[in-house]
Amino acid sequence: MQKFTFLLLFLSFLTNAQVGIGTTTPTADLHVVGDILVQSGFTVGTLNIITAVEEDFKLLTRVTNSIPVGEVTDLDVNTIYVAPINTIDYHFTNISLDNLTDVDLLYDESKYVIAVSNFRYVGDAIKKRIINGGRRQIGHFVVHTFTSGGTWHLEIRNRNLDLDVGDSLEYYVTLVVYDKSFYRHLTPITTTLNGNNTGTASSIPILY
Amino acid sequence: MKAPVFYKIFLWIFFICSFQFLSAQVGIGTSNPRKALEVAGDMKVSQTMNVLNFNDLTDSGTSYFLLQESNNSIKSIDVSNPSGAALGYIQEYIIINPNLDWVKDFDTGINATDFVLIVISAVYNSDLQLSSGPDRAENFSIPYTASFVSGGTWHMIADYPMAANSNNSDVGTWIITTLIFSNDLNKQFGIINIPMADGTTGSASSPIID
Repeated sequence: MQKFTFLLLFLSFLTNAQVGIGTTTPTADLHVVGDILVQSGFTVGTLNIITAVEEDFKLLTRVTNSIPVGEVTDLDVNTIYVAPINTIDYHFTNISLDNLTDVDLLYDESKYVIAVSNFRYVGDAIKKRIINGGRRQIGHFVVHTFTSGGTWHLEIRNRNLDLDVGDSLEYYVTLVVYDKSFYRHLTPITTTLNGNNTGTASSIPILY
Repeated sequence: MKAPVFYKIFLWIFFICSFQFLSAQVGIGTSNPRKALEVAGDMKVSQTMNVLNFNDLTDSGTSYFLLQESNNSIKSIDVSNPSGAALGYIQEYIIINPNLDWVKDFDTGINATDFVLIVISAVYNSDLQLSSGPDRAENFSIPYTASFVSGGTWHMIADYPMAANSNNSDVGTWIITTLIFSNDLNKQFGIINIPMADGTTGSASSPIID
């Protein structure tokens, strides 16, 4: 009789009961106490959706240099040095006139894309210059990042006009550092408008 | 009393199975499982899945985000693959020889239903003068660069109002850096109009539920 019970147990185990690996008390249809390694595709029929009131959720990432490859980890910005998006405030003082011609920010061009935002100009004004026939030249003031020698650089200045000698100013910016593991830096799209103020881009970037 | 032979066989199978499932690692399609369960092939979970313990991503880990596609399969966003998607895109537009400094309507052709495009910085590279004429030379100029939707695609506008190239013969160039997000990852809240009632301070209601 006891052996017959064994047989019943075995049959139910094969057909409809919950399966435990590393546990005798599975609490799901398949309960694995330990790690799972899936060599190919992975499909989950029902993933619950995060609602507006939920907080403290983490994004999941797949690590490509783990052993074996493909460990699924969560991304906690407090435990890694560089997050997918990072913001850093900069304050430039004691500048030669208004000219921040080339500041090497030392961020590796191959790893990051740097955008500048929150620009703030504090100090004396750059004065207009009277040119031909009483016209007022205002030069052109640029705030931009660019790459040079493998790193990101920053330029903030009026390229044609200067602050009066003796005047002073300071600049504040926030740099937004995008990790290229998550963001793609596309090839620039150059378009000539031939003197018109309307036009269409010479190409549309391939996005997904 | 001797048990029938088939009982013995079942017992043996059961012992083997229970031994494997309780204490050893289980391999499906492999005889050398490296984890508690290793599936040498695809795996499908028809309902939900809970993982009690994910390791944190470390600084030395090179990683991609995981997403679930509409067919339920879990996929990674591999930015290093040129034909793979990214979390966002940084696209620089170099617009040469507009109408002096004026770009009134530049069509990027990027679908506004699927993507959002925002200007993150802009630079104009030609010397400027304030527009001449009675009372005009004293006007102030606040440059702007902005994106807007027209005809289902993202467009851009860039200008120094009341100013233009110092020399009409100069060929100006705008370099506009944009950030493009897929609307799968970005939520657009639309326009919030704030009437200021002739005041200088006020409050704007946040559309975000904290």
